[in-house]
Amino acid sequence: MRPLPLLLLAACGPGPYTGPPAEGIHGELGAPLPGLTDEEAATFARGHDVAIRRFTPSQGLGPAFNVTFCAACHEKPVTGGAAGTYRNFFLAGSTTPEGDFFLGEADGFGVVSGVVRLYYDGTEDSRRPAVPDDLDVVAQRNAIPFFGVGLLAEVDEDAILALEDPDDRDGDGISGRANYDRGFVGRFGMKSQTVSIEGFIRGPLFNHAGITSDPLTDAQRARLPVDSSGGGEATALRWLGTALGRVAQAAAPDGPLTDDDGVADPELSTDDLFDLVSFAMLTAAPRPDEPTAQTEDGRAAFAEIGCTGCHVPMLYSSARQGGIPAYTDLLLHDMGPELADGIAMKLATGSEFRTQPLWGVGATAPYLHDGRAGTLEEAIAAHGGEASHARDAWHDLSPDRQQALLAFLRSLGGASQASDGLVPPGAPLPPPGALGGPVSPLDAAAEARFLAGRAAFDREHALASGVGGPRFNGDSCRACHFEPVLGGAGPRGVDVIRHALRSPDGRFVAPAVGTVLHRTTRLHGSANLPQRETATFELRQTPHLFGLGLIDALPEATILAGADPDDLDGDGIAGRPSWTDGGRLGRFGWKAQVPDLHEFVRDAFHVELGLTLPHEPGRTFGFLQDDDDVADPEAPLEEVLLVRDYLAALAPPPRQPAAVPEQAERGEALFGEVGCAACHTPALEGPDGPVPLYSDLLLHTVLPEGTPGIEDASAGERDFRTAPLWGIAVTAPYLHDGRAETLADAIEGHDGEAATARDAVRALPEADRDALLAFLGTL
Amino acid sequence: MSHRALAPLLSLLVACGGAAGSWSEAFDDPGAGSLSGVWGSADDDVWVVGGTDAGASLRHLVDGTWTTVDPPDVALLVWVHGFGRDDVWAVGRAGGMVHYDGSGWSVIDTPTDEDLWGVFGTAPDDLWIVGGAIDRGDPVLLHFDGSAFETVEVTGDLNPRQARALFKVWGTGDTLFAVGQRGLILQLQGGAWKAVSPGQGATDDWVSLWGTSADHVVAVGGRSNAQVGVWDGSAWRTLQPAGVPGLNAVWIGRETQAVVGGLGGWVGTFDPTTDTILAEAPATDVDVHAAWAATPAHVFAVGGSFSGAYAGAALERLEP
Repeated sequence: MRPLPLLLLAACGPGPYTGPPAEGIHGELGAPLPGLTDEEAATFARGHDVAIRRFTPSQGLGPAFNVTFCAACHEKPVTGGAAGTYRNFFLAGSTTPEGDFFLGEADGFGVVSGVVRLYYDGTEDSRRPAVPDDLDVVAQRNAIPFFGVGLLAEVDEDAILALEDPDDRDGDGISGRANYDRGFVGRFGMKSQTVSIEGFIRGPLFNHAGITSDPLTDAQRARLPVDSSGGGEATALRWLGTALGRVAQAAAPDGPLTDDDGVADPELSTDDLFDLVSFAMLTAAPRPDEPTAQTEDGRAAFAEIGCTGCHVPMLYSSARQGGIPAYTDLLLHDMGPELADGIAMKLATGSEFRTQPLWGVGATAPYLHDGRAGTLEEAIAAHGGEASHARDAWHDLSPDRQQALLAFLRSLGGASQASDGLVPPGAPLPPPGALGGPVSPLDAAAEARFLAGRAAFDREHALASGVGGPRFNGDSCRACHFEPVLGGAGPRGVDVIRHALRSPDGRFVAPAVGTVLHRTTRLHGSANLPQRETATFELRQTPHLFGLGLIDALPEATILAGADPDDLDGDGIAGRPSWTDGGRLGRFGWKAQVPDLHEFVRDAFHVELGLTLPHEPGRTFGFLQDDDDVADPEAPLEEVLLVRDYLAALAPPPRQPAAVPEQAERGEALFGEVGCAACHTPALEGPDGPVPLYSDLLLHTVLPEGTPGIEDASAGERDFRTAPLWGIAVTAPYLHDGRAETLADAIEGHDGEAATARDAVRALPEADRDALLAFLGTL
Repeated sequence: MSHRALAPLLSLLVACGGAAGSWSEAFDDPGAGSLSGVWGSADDDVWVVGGTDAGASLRHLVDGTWTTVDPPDVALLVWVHGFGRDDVWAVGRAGGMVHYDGSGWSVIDTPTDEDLWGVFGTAPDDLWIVGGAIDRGDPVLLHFDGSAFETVEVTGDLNPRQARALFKVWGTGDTLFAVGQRGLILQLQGGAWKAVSPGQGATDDWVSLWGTSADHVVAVGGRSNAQVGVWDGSAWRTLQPAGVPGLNAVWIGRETQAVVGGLGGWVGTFDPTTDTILAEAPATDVDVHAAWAATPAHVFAVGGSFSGAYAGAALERLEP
């Protein structure tokens, strides 16, 4: 390739902007810009609501997707921010014989605009979508914070171009150049590949959630906080819809996105899109802390070692009449083989990346394009290419000056909101009995232990700690258990994928890597795909963890008393105990494959987080070693004990008030009459009284004959533990694979031993069915 | 058809480029929908094709007047090519193809329902038609001898870039090229098609091409930023001009000046002998899709958007 002469772009201003910063742009992370009008504030609030809206299949989710809502990946420390590595997605493509790169596209659902999608929620089967064979470049992407993007959109093009030095004429080893989008200077995305916030929202909504949208109308664009209706850069924003349409949905080449999930397009209204785009545009710039002697020394060191060569303190915005202090030049820089990912976008090569803004950096770990750096120190050390001089200079700093520089970076906004996970610093303890609170009042020591356990449950483990061994589903316990509060269930976007092979005669065969097909991996260049021979995929919905301590304490005899494996009573229901390792009775997991809470936590640390654990006598769950390069054990025993004790103390879900108590009472009676209670035993007697979990904790065959599934411990392919019903009012979707959006759907999803009860519900008069659902809604 | 101020960058290009042509509106007809193809047998016999999601539209320049011609019942027409005043062909969405015999347009049944994006030939019994669904399947490559179609499978070695569609075909004498998605370029040589390298840098779609001879062809494309290809008779080389939006339209009548047009109404010229691209003052803000001329002094171009209001634009470029 030969670059064309840029005859006309030399007429740019000289060097970085050094004037005063723009006024009235700062706020806490996630806060709106100061001084919004009432109408703007209302729009911001509505946009925030769209950002946290959980999309369901009936609202257009899918048919293929990675997540179910915007804030799934923009959550840290608040909506609009970043996310842990568990939210990384795979970006893949292929290279031509000439060495050119193309983002992958699939005939099916597996890849769109290079984004590999993990979940498929089509009408035939729930499975992991297939991806093309020709993908030879795979990289990961960690979420980019949205804070202050409206201000970045208002930065003058000239201010960016003034910093270009593609041929490094000044000899400083830094040669930034602009990327372009439709002829305009790009500024958003890891490679500055996009100029439009609207596009930066519509694209991911479609690629990651399968939510279709139409471009905003000209009238709406004229009303956006950053006018996008025409003229100058705004013209490029206005163009976004057509660009996106061509790339992501070529069949409708001029704008609207469509899919074939049976939900009418667009699945997001332009009014909602307007609010969402406005929300992003109206987020404040992270407010920096007041300078201290240490941070000022760090600021000086930051400049001295050359960081400001790319992370320029400010870019001028004529719209704001001042500098936008994002600490970026928005230009592309070659980061060398250390960070190269092979993904070319527009003019950016596989080793070029946009200088990432640093405002708010102290609260938005992990860092770098794929989240490989869990700390700022790791991020600095991982810099290469044009930044190698600055990196080396960082290593040469004294420890005190390194700390000063880090303090300076952390002072660039959000430090007071930073947390090891998502629980804000100083978050109060919910009252006893409430969701997320302890089962009973705690003394000071117990409260401290509970809070420490909550922090451990919430804590995100960086790759350097060994998370992923080499594969994982979450980087914390909270990663999957957060609906509606910490310890809760998870949306479809964190479903565990189980998979299996088949023998020639059709029998279940567990893959060598186990039946869990992990969502992500710490391995570079791998999309973590299943074996080609994989024949069965089964999604596993994340259940809530409330009240597990009470289940753990149930006497074994109490559970076994309900067993009737040979259906001796002839009621068509044959509950079977699940026997796990060492002949222990299973009671946790969708297949009751885990015997107790301690093993349940050990199992999760291994299977979900990929962390190795110390040996404990008598414990068989959890791995002691893995094949990553982090010394084993990767998690201390105390971490397991903290989480175990936290879960043991976590209150069961409180009953919800019935809108019409008499109706719910009628429904409760029907629950028994139609046979639901035969498996969903309302309560089991615990040491301290009845435990109203609505489960017998036994295995039942509940899927239609011939349904392929996953064997686990004593459970056959169609067998599942009776799912406890406490908490179902606040933890949709339902059933083991989340196929049921509503409680009525869940009842319909029953078969096998539950078919009689299901049919009995079907036969109920409508008023009785409503009463039954009303009762279930109180659980 | 609106006229909006475009970006400062483009103004700068105009100021420094010394534009030789002046663009203006050729006709203003909202009823025409989006316009995507233009061809004529002469300056006073020019056809413009386009349409909306409701169907095709045709406009005809005769004796200096643009007239509306009722189209046959086909989907939006994308491209038009002909051999004289009474022998014009057009193709479009959903496998649509029509023929004008001097008195009226008639529908030609094609062997595909996929979108057809281009038609070209050196004789009425030697037409090539290209297309494809863009997001699935293989590109469409058809030959029409005036009575029957022959399908060329664009798979395997003929599609090393896994393109879904071919967008245009053009040639002269024994040299014929078809260009399409993901930088794919096919060349007809010795009666057989083969894939040829576009040179390094073809990271986006080719949308159109035109040439002055068998060793002087220019291809343009790019869905976001411009991509320009030059064929010198032996090899293609690809250029990525920074700061220029994606290009759809190209017509070249002089060796040193191809007229090009693209996204957001961008128009300008490209000199393949110096690799210099210069912007000209735009006359529309809708995407320019096609350009054609009988002489370099008077170039026609059309454009539009393919959704929503299906706004179109018909332009002409006159040299002083």
